[in-house]
Amino acid sequence: MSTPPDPWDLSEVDAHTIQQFTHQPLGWQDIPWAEHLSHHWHNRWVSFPIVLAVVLVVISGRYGRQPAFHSLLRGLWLALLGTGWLAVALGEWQYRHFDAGQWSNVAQVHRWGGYFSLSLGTLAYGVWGRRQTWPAQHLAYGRWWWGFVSWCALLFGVGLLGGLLSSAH
Amino acid sequence: MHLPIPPASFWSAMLLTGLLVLPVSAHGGHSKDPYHQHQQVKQTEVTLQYQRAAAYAQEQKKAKVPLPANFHAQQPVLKVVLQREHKGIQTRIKIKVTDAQGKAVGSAAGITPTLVSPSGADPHYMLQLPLSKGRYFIMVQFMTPEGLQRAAFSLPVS
Repeated sequence: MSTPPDPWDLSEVDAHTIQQFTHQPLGWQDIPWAEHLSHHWHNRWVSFPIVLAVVLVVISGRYGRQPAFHSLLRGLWLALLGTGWLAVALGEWQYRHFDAGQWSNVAQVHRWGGYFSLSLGTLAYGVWGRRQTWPAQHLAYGRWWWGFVSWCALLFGVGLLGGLLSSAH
Repeated sequence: MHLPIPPASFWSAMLLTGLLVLPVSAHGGHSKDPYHQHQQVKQTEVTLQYQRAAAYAQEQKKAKVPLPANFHAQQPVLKVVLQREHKGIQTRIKIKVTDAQGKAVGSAAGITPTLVSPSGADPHYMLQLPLSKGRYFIMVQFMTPEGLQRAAFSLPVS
């Protein structure tokens, strides 16, 4: 029979283990995206808005003027923004309610993924606006990029606010 | 190519962004000080402070707490404060420090810091730790009524 390891002997604790435990917010480049997207089944959901956004941008650009595609585009666009906001809300909540360790990393994935989805959603909105179809009719022709820039500025502000508030003690 | 004058929505978004961002970025505080970090682990607040020996000695003098017998005036101090409901706690504690490459600083099995001022003002744990330039990872393990807890910090020394 082997004796259980002494929990007070920290010989097995290495830099990687400690790093996993730190409460430091992970930067975009520090998040192991490939691992999150391919290995953890629950995190495969992160790929959902990304794929959705790419599909949306392609369909908007190619078929945005055809009325037959409007309800599909409307649904996809709302799904994308909804998923983005859900991910952001979940990430911000997790970030505030879990102390350290893996949870803060998962929270970061949700937060970054959510803001990324919102940005992609904004891009899709801009592409669609350029095709002069719903829901961007109010963005007059020639001004769609100002709408896009405004959205980006707003998202950037919200993202920065969230990030700063989370890191503020 | 001439860009049109931006519409009111653009300026509104810019203004709103400014209004949101400026007060937050103006908020400094010690959260931005890498040598003074806080973490909440369950109901325990863990504070880690890395400071010069002279600054530490001055703080202790101000609090009228004698320095530990083996205090070395040249070696920087890693100070750890464990608090529950804003009161310092005494418990078993161990600290493990590694550099960015994973090499342990001090004992690989962990270092037991010195408890200072257990019944006086500002009870804390201290460890004299000369660290050269680089990034270090620090794990603080301690016992609470909820069981064994760990807090980890990333300390950039410049």
